[in-house]
Amino acid sequence: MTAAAPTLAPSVSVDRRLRVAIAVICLVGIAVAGYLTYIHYAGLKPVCFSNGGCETVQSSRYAKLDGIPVAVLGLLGYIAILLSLALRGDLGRLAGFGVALIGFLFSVYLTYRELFTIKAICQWCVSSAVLMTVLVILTAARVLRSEPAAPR
Amino acid sequence: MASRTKQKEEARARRVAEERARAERAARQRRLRIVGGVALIAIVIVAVAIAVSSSGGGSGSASAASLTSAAAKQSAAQVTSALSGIAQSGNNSLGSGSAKVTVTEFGDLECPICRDFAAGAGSQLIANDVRSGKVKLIYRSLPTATGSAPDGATIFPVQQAAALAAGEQARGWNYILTFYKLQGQEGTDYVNTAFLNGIARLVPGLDFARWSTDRTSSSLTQQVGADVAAANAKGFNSTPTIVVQGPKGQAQPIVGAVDYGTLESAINSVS
Repeated sequence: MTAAAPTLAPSVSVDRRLRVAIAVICLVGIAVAGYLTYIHYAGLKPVCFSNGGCETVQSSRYAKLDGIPVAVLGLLGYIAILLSLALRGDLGRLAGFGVALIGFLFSVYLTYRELFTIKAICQWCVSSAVLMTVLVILTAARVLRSEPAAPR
Repeated sequence: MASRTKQKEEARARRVAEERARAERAARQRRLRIVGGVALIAIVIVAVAIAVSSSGGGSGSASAASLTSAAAKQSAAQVTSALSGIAQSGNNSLGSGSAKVTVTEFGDLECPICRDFAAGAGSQLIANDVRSGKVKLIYRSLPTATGSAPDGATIFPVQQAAALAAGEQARGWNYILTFYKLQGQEGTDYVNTAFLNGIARLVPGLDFARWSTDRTSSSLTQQVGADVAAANAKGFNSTPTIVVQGPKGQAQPIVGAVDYGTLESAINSVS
């Protein structure tokens, strides 16, 4: 039983590091999605480096899901993942992973639409897709790392 | 004796180890199932989201064929509910005849900014001020975006008259707002007879045969021409240009997809 302590210690610190990384990326994501949400409701044009691509993407039908701007959905997703870090144990890890997976899969779909349907790229959307991809990897690592569930 | 005790202990240790291993295996499997379950739920949620996103209402890339889709019908239904119970008269007017304030939109049915205005401040204006009887909304024609279509010069009066023909049946605003919602790509020749017919078929209660005859009548085409002449005389050159007129006079014309607040303060300044 005493042997459990040393094996537990590194895994705890890895988990801690993963949590910090996830939190930082969530904050960046909140900044990006928050900016796009603000732009959307203020009726402004986003700062764009891709020659009007952002406006094309943002004004396309795919920028909204049943009337809700996808920027808002992204913002909620990042906030949810950040909040999941506050939940102790498996529930928090699984919730974070679940939300990140939804965000990642939907980002894949939106990127596909950007490239092949709208044929315009918006660097804000791409950066959010990259952040979600990193998040799904990190949250998955947290879920798998915590194995086996040490009874407490 | 000693070896028997040892054997017993060894057997016990083996049992304990086996049990632990079994418990760990079970725990891992249970966990894997939970992770798999979470992943499955995530996939289902995204699948639903993609289905909604792919079919959902809103401005699709229109062609005449897409006007029979479920999304097009949904758009038309949204227009119907936004306008239900509001009077339409004089082939281009929406709202009570006794409204104190008249808001005139000079628009082009192919213009995306007009669409944005209709979806934003315009819809709020209808829901609040037109519905309450304070404002009467009038639609007049001014060619802008249609000019960039290959057939722009010829199709403009035809498409605008199509809306007025629906107006002859007190359904002009249904036609205008449905057209905006289902606009195609600016600068392309997506508007044709099939497209105009498709929009008309989406307007509930429209007598299609009567509309077909009316829309080619010279009086409606002349009305479009008169609108354009009036807009030119006032120096208007972009759409939407919004003129707000009330008992206290006329506000400075508003241009573009302005927000509702701007529109409201103009209305308040003249009422």
